[in-house]
Amino acid sequence: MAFYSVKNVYKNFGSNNVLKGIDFDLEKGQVLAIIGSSGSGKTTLLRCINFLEIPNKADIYLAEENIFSIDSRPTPNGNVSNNAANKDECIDNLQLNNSKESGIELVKSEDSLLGKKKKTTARDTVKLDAKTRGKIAAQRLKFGMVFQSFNLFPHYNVKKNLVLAARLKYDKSLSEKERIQRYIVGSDVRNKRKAAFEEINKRAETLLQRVGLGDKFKAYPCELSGGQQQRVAIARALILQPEILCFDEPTSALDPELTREVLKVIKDLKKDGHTMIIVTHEMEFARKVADKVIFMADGIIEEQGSPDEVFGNPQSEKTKAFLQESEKRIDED
Amino acid sequence: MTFWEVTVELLNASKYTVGLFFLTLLLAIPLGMVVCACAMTKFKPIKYITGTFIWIIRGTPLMLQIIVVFYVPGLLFGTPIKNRFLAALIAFAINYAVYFAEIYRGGISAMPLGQYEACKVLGMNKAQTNSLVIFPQVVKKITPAMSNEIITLVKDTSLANVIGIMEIIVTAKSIVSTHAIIWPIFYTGVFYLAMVGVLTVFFKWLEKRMNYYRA
Repeated sequence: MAFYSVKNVYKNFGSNNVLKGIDFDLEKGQVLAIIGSSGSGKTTLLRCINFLEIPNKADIYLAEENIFSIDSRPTPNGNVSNNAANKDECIDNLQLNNSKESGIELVKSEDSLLGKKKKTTARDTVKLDAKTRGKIAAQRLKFGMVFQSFNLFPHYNVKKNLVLAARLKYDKSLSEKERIQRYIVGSDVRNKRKAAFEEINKRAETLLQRVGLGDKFKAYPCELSGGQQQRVAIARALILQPEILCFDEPTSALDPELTREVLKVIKDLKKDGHTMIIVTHEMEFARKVADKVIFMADGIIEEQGSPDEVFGNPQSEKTKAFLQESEKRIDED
Repeated sequence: MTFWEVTVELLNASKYTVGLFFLTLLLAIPLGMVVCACAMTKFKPIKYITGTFIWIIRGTPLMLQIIVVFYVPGLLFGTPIKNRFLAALIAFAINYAVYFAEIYRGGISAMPLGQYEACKVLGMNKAQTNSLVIFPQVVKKITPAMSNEIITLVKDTSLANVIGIMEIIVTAKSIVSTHAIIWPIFYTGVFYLAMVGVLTVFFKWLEKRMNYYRA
């Protein structure tokens, strides 16, 4: 089985079906580029991978392990389906099949049993209980995320932006007893924690040098250019040592020159052996850096394969049209 | 009456103004957080009750609220509030808590969704997200609105005279009527201007101090 494997991802916002069955595999150290026109579901797919959106149906495997399974789609008669196909296979893992028992509640958008339309917002299609949310939060840390709009914490300097989450993660790993002991001056726990934080500081410094910003440790995000901010955001995602790093159109908010510096960092990360999933509009970049390209249209994967296959010899009409259109755009520029 | 005698009288009366001001802030700032939390909760009954409460407090004059707090306990339960200052303080604290709550709510809703999502992908829980990322930024966002409201509070303290608290204006009025001189009533303006001046300088300093980042 592949290192990372996504099967049968469905996601709808109300009656709007955004993802209609997505499957793909990714090997360790590979870079996957997801391309497609706006509204094709690329970003939603990436957000489902990160569990920022909870898909209505999905089976996700990472390193031979079923890290997430859910099936809360309404069946045609309006009930929540109890399709627990691989229930016994992975009892210890996050298992979200069989809705009621595992704390999933489907908020039906239309044809509710009460017979009247229930108002749903885009974000509350699948409701989860606290325990399930906690499990998902733990799985989420296996995926780093770099946003289109950076989303750095503006009130913290670069150093604090980087170390904050890593420090909190360390504190989370302490036992109840240790959490109290960390406040006692001179205690073992406190000293160990101090050493660990020093380690985190060093890691942050190394990462910042890796993205070419070794001298910006003390700067605030507002003092940096967009490209620099995005590189800090990449370093911030890497400090938690995620298995897979996800990028949601990382250069869409940047001008061509700043785009270059960010793309260079991503190329360097590939050399370091990071597994990455990149949603992008940079076709040239996708072609050069990706090991695998997915072209999405209308919530399904229209075509996937190596860059040479997808870009050089597209099979589907939609892919051809999309690639021609984006080439035309470059020519016009 | 000499200028000096009037000044001493008015200074003496400003202890009510200053006292009411600081105690109201002390109570209303945390109470406003509670009201804000209730107004923003997903639990519908509390949300709607708080909404109605906010409507009532914002929808009636502060002067009326002071009168209600002072007289209604006596009328309903036969236990009148003996301490006039306490009655005024309760009315002020509730009234300002509601206005502060709305300012807090505005500040929190102005936070971009991206900040919450960044916290989520970095494995932070709700409490950490709020205390480490959201609230520190909200404080900066709401400082101008808060300083506006707090400056209004200085002048609103004069409403306490409706239940007979001898604050600056009432004192000046009684001097005017007993000594047949008009200027002390105009002179009170200087006291308010002085207090607001101090606050203005303070908030300027605070805003500058928080200006180490732009968001």
